[in-house]
Amino acid sequence: MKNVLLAPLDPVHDIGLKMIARGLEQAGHKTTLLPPDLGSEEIIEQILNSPDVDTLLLSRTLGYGVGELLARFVDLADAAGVREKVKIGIGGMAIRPELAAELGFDAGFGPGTTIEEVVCFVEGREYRPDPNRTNKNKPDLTEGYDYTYLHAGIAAKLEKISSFILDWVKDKWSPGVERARLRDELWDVERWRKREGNGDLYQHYLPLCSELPKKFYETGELHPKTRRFTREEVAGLERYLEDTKARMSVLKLQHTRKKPYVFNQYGTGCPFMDIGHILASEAWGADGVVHFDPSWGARTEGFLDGFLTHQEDGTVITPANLNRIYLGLEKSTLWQIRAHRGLNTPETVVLAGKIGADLTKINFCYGSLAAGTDPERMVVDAYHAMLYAKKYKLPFDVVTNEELAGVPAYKAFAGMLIVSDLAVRLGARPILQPLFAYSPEVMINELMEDNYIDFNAGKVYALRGIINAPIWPGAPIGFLTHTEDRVQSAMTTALHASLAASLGVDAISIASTDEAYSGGPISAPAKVDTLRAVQEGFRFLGQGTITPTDTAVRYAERITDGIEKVLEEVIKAGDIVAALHKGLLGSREEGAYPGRAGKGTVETQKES
Amino acid sequence: MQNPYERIMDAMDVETFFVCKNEEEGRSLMLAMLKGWGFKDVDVVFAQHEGPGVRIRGRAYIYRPADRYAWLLPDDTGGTQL
Amino acid sequence: MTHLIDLSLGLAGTAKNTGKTTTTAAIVGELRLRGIPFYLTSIGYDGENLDNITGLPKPKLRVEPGDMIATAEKCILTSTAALKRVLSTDIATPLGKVSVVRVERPGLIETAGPNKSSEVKRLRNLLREFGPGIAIFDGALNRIAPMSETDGIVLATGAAKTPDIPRLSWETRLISHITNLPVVPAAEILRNKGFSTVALIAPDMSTCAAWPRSSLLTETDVDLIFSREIMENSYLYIPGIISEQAVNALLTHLQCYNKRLFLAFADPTKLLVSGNARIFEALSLALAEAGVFVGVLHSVPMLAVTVNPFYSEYRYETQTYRPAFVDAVRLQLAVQRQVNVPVYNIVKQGAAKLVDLIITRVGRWESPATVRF
Repeated sequence: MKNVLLAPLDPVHDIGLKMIARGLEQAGHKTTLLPPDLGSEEIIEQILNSPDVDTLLLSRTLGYGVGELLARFVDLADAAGVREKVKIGIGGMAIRPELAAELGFDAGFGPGTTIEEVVCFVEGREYRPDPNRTNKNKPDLTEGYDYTYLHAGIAAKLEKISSFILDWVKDKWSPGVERARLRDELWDVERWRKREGNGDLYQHYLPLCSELPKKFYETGELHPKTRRFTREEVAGLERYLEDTKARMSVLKLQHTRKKPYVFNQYGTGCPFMDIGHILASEAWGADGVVHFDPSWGARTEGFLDGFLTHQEDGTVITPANLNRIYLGLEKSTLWQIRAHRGLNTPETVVLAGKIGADLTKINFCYGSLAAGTDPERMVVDAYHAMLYAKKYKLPFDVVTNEELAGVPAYKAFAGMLIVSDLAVRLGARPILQPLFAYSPEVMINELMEDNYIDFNAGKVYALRGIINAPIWPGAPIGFLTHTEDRVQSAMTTALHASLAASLGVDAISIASTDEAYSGGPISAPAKVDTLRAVQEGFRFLGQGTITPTDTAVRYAERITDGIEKVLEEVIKAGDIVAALHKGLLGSREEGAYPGRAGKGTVETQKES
Repeated sequence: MQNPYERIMDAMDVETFFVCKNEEEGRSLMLAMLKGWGFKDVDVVFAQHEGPGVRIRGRAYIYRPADRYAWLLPDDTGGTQL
Repeated sequence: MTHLIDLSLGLAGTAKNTGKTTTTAAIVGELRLRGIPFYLTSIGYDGENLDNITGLPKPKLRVEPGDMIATAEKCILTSTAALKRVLSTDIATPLGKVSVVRVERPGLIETAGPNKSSEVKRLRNLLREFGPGIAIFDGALNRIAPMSETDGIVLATGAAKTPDIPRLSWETRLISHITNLPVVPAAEILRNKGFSTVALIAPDMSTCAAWPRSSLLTETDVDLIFSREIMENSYLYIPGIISEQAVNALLTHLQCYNKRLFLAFADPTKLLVSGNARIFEALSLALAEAGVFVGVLHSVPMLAVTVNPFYSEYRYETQTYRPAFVDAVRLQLAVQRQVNVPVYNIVKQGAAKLVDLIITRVGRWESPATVRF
């Protein structure tokens, strides 16, 4: 056991130093954390007063005058005779290891130092960094894509469609649009975080809500399946986070590749369990996490507020819930909050943007054909959501999960491209999200009779032949190939991930090995299962590739032709809402039913 | 009803995720849990600790090879050595 | 026999660009010319001499066949000179362990040596085993403490520290004042007693009291000492450092104490490191009035000062730096008026006079194997 003295050479405490103290204690060492803003002599006095101290760790976050300050400290320590018995290390934002060495410290820890590194120094062991545990950076998935079209015919048709959508939508208004505007204009997230309240947001907000939020704000009554956390639970969460963060590190899954970035979802209903799941996912290498909210949230006008837990699938979107989750995330983790399908679409984007999400999800075709929202309302709300996505710099994926209902890929893709084209025209950054799935279309038409490769590859080929845009297969990859068996489930995820890597896509969403189980929420081990499997898949593949058969190209051609025909029909319809109702982008026979939530709420005269 | 454990061919594996400080602690938790369930011949097959906890697979052997298997001898009375 | 000499010389700079490297190169050149053996090493290293991309040292100092250098492994790797390793030490630096090498073919090299006092001392003793010569310790920026292991220092200062000539002269005077503190009369006895903590010694050299710590850092530390009766002509010995707080407390007590007292520090660097030279000057004046004799056990005299008129001038209009010079003659005279050691402008005057001066300070080399009877 070592006896370690930790001292900040700053006017305020460095959180990093606290975390290191905790990490050292967990490694079995004795630590003493000195208060901030002590002079060099005072720190040396502390060492002289504690003859058992064998290591001193200093931190310095401020860059100003750091060279002189540290040189003087080492000189004082040397002259006072403490260098002979005490090892001195220094770390913090202002520290370059070279500077520390030059000045004569025994070790220097720059930004990005792991706790393990410091523990090794204290214990006098050599630190051997794990190449898979490098510092991850948060990427921009849309970087390097300019959304230029490579297929002139489709480009021309999309332009026509976007122009009539824009023309139609510009003077449309809905309660969802208005709530988003209020959240955007009246809600100051910084004030709210400082517990200075919501301003007069709710005064204007309440009349725009449906029964559930109205009751909540008027009487405090909650949704029957939700409850508030207790003070003790919140204190417990804070302790748990502090403990876990102190020993936290993240794996990198991609081996020698940079992409695809790997996302998994969370949404047990309980933000605390979610935080636990997110930490496990991050530690086992997830690059991003996706927030799943309950399905009733999408059919409710307005958000609840407060720190709420929910007994069933899906974690309720409230500012407090999102904020708690945000505070628990690792710095490198991409955070997606889905806005795509309900009556709170634009406000979700505003909230996500204000609280600190990196990505959102928007698709009015999916939202109205397979998620129960009225097409007219969905188009209007999605349009505004895209404008906010641009404002808050949130790239978003355009899901095509209507395929799971039975809509053929080419129709779902036509819808995805319509949404993406509109988004690009509005200055937003869409990401294409084809499914890697054993979809009804595939089953009926035996498109995967031989392998799971060709049709999925064909989808990516088709999209790449149309537009230069980022691609993020999902959601999750291998959908409907999973069974309840975890080995099979992990295997199919790893293989689909390897296919995605081989195709060079930008990101993937993966399931857990509980994907096919419906008896309860996903468990932490089930999340770890697929992350480990995907890591092994990427290790296996390296820079190697999976070669699809020639059939993949034929599938790609068929999909591309299909898309062009659908777009032609949408142009003939001359109206996106009518096209959605007519089934041009997915018909009732194909399992797509235009939704009813929010029907009749769109007004033409926009309120000012 | 016959003890269900006796119908296990050889061993029972338990996989879970413990929130704990390090791998050692995780291993101890697993062994303590299996012993707490009354198993004597217990081990940890696999453990991987990362920051938040340990992904762990514990094992309790019901039968080692050459034991007398209850699924073979439902009314075992000792038998006769060949 | 004239070259059976032994000296370790420290070169200390007050800031970057004060001409320490120029001084080192000039001294080395002069020693070579006179055939005086020397060992060149440094205290720590200059981080600016590391290549940004490779992180390896960029060799800068020209060395000639026969030169002896003590430097770190990575500096040996990047040197353009042909070197023969004569000793590998286990003295560790961030650039690898220190080795002693002999130059076989000329080239460039960077020196990187130990940065802890105890290791500087070890290296000094190792070099002594090679035979007579002057060991030159080129000091890294801002590090003063390890200079305590040298026999004397040459201070390189100049306009790069501050172009304000009166201020620079005054600062140099403070350093000169401290480095030239006299050795206390009972120094040898105190050295032999080997105190490692603060101690009060009676005039008959019996120990009155010893405290557990090496340094005086707080008022309480000082109060504790003066809580007891102190005999006239006692010694208060402080082996470590003294803080500003403790200096002030000491002053308060001594002003009420009207007997002769010897205040002994281990060496001058202990007073220089705290960066409170100014306060210490006030203290020593007040102390002198109160009849207190301030001195050291081990002297690290400042042998000479070199001045460099160069500095980088900041131009507000263009927000750039440009090279600038203060008046070289005025600078040299101003500093000379404040210190009682020679002041040189090495670029103008060369190092001949400086080396003459250094030679007067050498001791007679004896093999470390010499046994006295």
